[in-house]
Amino acid sequence: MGSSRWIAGVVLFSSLNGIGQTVLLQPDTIVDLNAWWSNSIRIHGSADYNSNTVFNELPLGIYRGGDLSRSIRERSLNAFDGDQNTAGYVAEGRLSWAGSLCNAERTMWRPLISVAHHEVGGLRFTKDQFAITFFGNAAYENQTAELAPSGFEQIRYQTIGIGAQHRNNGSMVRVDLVRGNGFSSVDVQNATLFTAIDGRELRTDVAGEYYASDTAGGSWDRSNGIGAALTGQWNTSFNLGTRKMRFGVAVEDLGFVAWNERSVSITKDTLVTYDGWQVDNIFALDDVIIGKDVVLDTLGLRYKRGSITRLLPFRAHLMIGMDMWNTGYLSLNLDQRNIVGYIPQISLMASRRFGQRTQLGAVASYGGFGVFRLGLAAKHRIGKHVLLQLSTPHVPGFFMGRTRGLGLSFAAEFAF
Amino acid sequence: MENVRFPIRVASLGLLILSTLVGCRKDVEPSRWDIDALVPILRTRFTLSDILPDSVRTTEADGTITLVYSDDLFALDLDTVLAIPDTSLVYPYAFPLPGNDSFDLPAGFPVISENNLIRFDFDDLALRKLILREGRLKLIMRNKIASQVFGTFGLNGVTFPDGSSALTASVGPGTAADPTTSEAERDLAYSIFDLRGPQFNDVNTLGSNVSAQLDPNGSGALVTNQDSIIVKVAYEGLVPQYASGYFGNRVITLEPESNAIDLFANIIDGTIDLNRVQVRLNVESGIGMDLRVRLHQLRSVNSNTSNSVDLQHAIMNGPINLNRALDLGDTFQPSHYQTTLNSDNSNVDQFLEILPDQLELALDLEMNPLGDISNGHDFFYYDSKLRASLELELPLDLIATGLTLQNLVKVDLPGSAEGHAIRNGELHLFTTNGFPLDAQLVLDIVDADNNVLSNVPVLGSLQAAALDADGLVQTPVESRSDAILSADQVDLLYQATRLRVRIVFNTADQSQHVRLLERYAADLQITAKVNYLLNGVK
Repeated sequence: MGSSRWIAGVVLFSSLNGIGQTVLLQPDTIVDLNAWWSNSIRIHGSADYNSNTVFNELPLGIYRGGDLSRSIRERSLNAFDGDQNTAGYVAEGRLSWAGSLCNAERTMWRPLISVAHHEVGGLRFTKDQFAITFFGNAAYENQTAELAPSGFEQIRYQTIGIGAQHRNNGSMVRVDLVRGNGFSSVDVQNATLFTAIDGRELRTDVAGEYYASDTAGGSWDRSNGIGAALTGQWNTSFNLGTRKMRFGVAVEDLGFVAWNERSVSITKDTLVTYDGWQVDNIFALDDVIIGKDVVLDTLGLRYKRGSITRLLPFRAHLMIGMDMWNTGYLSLNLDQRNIVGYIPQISLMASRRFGQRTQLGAVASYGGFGVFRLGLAAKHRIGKHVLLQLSTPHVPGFFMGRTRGLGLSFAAEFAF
Repeated sequence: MENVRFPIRVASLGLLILSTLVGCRKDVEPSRWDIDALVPILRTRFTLSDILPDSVRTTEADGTITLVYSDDLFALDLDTVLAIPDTSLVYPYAFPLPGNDSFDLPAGFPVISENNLIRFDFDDLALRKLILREGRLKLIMRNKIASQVFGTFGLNGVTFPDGSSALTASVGPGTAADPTTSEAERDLAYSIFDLRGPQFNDVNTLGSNVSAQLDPNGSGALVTNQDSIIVKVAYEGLVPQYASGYFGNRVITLEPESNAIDLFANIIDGTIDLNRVQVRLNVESGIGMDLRVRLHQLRSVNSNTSNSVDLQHAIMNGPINLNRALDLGDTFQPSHYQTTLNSDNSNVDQFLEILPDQLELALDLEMNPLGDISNGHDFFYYDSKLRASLELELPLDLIATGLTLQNLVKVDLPGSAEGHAIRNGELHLFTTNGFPLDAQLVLDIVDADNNVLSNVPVLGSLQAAALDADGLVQTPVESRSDAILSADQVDLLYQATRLRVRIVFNTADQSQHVRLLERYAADLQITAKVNYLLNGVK
């Protein structure tokens, strides 16, 4: 546990990627490092959590550990509106090198090598699910709780890849070998839970699937699957009247992992009625042993084992932007990620250069795992060789518990 | 160069801050929150078979149930009548030579040759024939003569299983300072002993012959008055398979002893009024002699309530004379005595209505009260026993008052005393009762010595089903009881305690006997509403 948290921490704070999840300022030829340096080493990472219903104070309370007060839970519950509730996170870290081809320093395309670690999780849930999870089913006495549509997906994987990057416009292509650490996925199309008066019966109607990699573990140091992925970005610019327009389209980690034969799956479409364990003799309760196997058999939750191939939580990104005056820039972005709970996210970013080394921007976004967010981004060059970037997709997340979403990205690039 | 150094400093500072942030999270305990869960716990069907096993229960054609229970009152076996002690006999021989004289013995010289009578000490028994089931005969020789010595121990009247009747052994040459010892052994199982002696007119007697001679093929020996030969014969571990003779006129007293009776073991309090009780006293004798039993006391005791009742019946006033068993040659046919006790000829109903858990018995047993009328042909086999038993027949036609069943349950809850998930709650007991008995649930938390630490209040009771004109239940009745467990009581359950569950039954009509039928049942369901702390288990 300790080592995985350490890794998560490093991923969270120490590295970020160019076309990653979080806010990144647009390229600026004056602030950015010279694209014609022979070598460029970049370390970057991002961590972003978001939800359209749950206030930050709840996941933060869970993260901090200890007692989670009822008032915190109630505030999130009372803020629910409808049953399209989502939450999710993306944590990624990447180290990449871009160089030059031998004897071809002046070519536009430069080689690229990159290693990365990814953790992505998404959740779609109903208000009743939230209420039962955080308050129990007692309040649903003689009522039916709606537990679907809902789903959950979590994946942890690492990539190593090679590719090429255009020096001027940032277009790139990369092919990655993927090492799958672990994944689990629940897709519930239909589920209800009826709690009879006085709890005399629990009746659940479930239709859904569950998939997971080897149940022995899915930490970062395990290899439970292998796959491949393609990452590509195409950027171009054109003039519209007097304005210079930019257009970009990108896809990241479009690929798959073939999880090994120790993966498990359950498909259920069943009605389960539970009215208590059947005991043969009320005077021999000491002999009643309810083991794990009994529970699994009773509920029909025996795994089926076998290899599973799943798509990665790839991300598609569309951008159109325009230069504003000589130092400003405005862009409209649309992105979608292949993960449960994620809806298309649209964001509007405005940035401005201050002096020769600094660029600042603000972004307003809606969608993804959550709702409206307001973020800031900063870029600063130190000398000719070092460029630092820091951004957050939601500034209020750092100051207010009763807001939704929190994220941070950091990047450092060293060129020589 | 300056430009390179600065970003390295910045990066180092950043990593330092970040590693500190990661370290802060390292040892944080998991988040906990409480939920209110409302869940079914268990369901069961209670029938009389749960407390009365099939072995003690018979069902009549009309569905009524009769308890049939048998319990041994006493049993006397072979050890009581005859125990054969280990017996040793020593045959020494020394040479009566004066001073330093010596004598040269030739090869084959017979140093011992004796005929003897062996008398066994069997107390008052005068046995004529004995067949052993187990036993050993040992022949131990100790030689100080400078020649090998051959010894023979012959038993006249004994037939070993191989047809022989002697045991031989030899011992090597020895000296007065360094004697030589040897030992031979024979298994006496199923050896036949004719104990009538050489003239066949005695009892407990065997004729024997002990002889020893120097090695006939040796060179003889020079002996002095320091030389000797000692032969020791030992009978060990003798267990009879069969014995016959006259077993004497003795009285064996069985002091008051207590026998546990588990028929009512589940009932720890209350009384019942029984109808049509019947008890049979059976005595069986497998011993081939006349016996006379005088019952001094037969008392039922309820150790929980300290109530006791002495049985009153004609058998308590006069002796029970038992005929001898019949000897069939290689086995026996036991004799029997039986008498029936009921509420007309005894107080057997009161005897049982206190729900005894012990029976106390005191008696005298007189052997051969009329003397040796078999002319020395009393007998017993290894399997012969004198045993007495009580057979109870109790039709379940009763009035129950405060009839209390108890069960101690070690509650196995998730977590530990230091950290547990269940904090407080309510237990709901739903009953569909088909018995004509109402019941009150009593829950107590007790320590290892059954001292009550806390009472769990229970609201409501289980209602009795109504009787029709025939005194039978046709329709079960539904009822509900609620038990409320406080946080302190939940904490107690996580310590070295148990939950004592008592159910107190009463027949609805305390003046009318009600019949309990095989088909009667009560369906029980327990549900719980508990405040549960997620991640609260340590």
